[in-house]
Amino acid sequence: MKLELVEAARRGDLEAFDALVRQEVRGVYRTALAILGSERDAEEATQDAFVSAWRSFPRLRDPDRFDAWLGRIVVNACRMTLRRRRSIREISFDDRPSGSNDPAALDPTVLAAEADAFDRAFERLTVDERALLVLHYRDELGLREIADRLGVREGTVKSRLWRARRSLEAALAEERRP
Amino acid sequence: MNDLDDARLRAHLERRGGAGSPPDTLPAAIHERASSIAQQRSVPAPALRLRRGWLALAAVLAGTAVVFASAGFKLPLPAPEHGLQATPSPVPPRVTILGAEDFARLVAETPVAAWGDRVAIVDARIESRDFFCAFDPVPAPCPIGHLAGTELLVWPDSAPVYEDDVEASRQVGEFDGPQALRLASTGHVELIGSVRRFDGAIAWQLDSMVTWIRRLQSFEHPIGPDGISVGPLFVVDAWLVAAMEPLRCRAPEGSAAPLFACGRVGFLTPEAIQPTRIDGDTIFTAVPEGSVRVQNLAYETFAPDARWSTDRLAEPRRALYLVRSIIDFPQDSCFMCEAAGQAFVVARIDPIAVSPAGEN
Repeated sequence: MKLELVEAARRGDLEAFDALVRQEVRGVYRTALAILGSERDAEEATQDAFVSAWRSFPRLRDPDRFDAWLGRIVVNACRMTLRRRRSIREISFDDRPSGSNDPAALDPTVLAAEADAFDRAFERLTVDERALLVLHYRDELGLREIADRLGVREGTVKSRLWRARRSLEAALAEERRP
Repeated sequence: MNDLDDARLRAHLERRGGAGSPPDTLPAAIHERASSIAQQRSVPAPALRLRRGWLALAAVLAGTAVVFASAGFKLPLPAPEHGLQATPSPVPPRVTILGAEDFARLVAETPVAAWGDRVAIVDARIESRDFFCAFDPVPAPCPIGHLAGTELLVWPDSAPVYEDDVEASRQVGEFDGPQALRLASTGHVELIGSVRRFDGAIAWQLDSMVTWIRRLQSFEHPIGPDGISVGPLFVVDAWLVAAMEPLRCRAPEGSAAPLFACGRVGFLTPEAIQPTRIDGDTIFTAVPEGSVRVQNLAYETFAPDARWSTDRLAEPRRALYLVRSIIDFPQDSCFMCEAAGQAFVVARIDPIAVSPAGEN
């Protein structure tokens, strides 16, 4: 079903594209939200990603690879959104992900203060580092799938993932310093 | 930090994105934008159905009409339809790479009046130096160093694609390897920047350059003032062509890059491809397959012997072009940017003859 929608959207069928958007928008938005940490930014990145996909559909050679292709577009959209925001970004309470206080989403041992420290530390990472961590730990993608999405080699993903993890730990240590 | 184990990291990331729901209005907003793109692509507006005889007048009065199709139109060489004369180039253009001494001799022997902003590729090192230059009342141009092994001063690019390029040219990392140097009409030798090699050679094929640009997109890179992030310089062997100027096209809102908005849209293409086709009363213009969108008016400025047919179609011109790659681009600001990539054409690299050493 999804493959048919992708094929039709590639041919310029706007209705099929709309259906595809409805099907995928939640997942894309959540990935963007995890990377960007702001609902407003996630909304903007999600919108840009789908519009960019619509523009680029004729260049999608293999519809079977739609997920990886869209994933790469999403990461690029997050990168662009973050850069636009970087100079004016201030974290406000309104910007916090709506799930940040949702007890069901939290391990009971994770305190609110720790969540704050984590978010601040995460914001210090580059968007590529964030994307790697989100795709691997949250979306549980393997190295090969991430390599596909980011357009780099598997070995590169492995080394960058390691570095991203170290960067996050260092940033977290910095945030927790009294 | 031993307490950030995999499970806890996952829990935090789940928390950040897990409970969020996209606003209900989001699919509709996406639909609206996609729909406007679809209309731009496919609708031959009534105004576009002009009699060919009126085209020249209409173009002069208001620009020219464009209808988007899905691909470009390859030109049969050497005598294509519409009387176009695409320059067939059986022999690929060759780039002249000068050494420091040859270049210094060229500079010494050529009168400044004949420099004409020509650009040369020089395989040499530029040694940076601090100069004391006047800053009052305004900063005066100041050299950035000299060509190693010579006394030739090198100045920053006076017409950079972006101001940041000037700063980039001052960084030591930019000073190794082949350099693009401009013989500026002011009498200064200006550093445009380091040229990236491909497999030891200087000239790139268009598709190889596009592949490289795409790789660079996956790396972190600074973004410029217009939301454009520029990349390395390439010398590319390609055809330069322009689309017929559009009568109507929707100017992108708040266009960040006016050179990539409506107008005389330019493309670098791997073959002689004509983006505009006239079929009866209708004009079709398509983004050529495998093309790189370049700034408007690039064809007029840089194509050798730029020429238009009686139908106002630009004749594709093959040459070696020096281009500044674009890594990131605000797509909404760009007209006809469904190309494989974007770049600024900075110069055309023509062969340079240098007299042998010791000859006057």
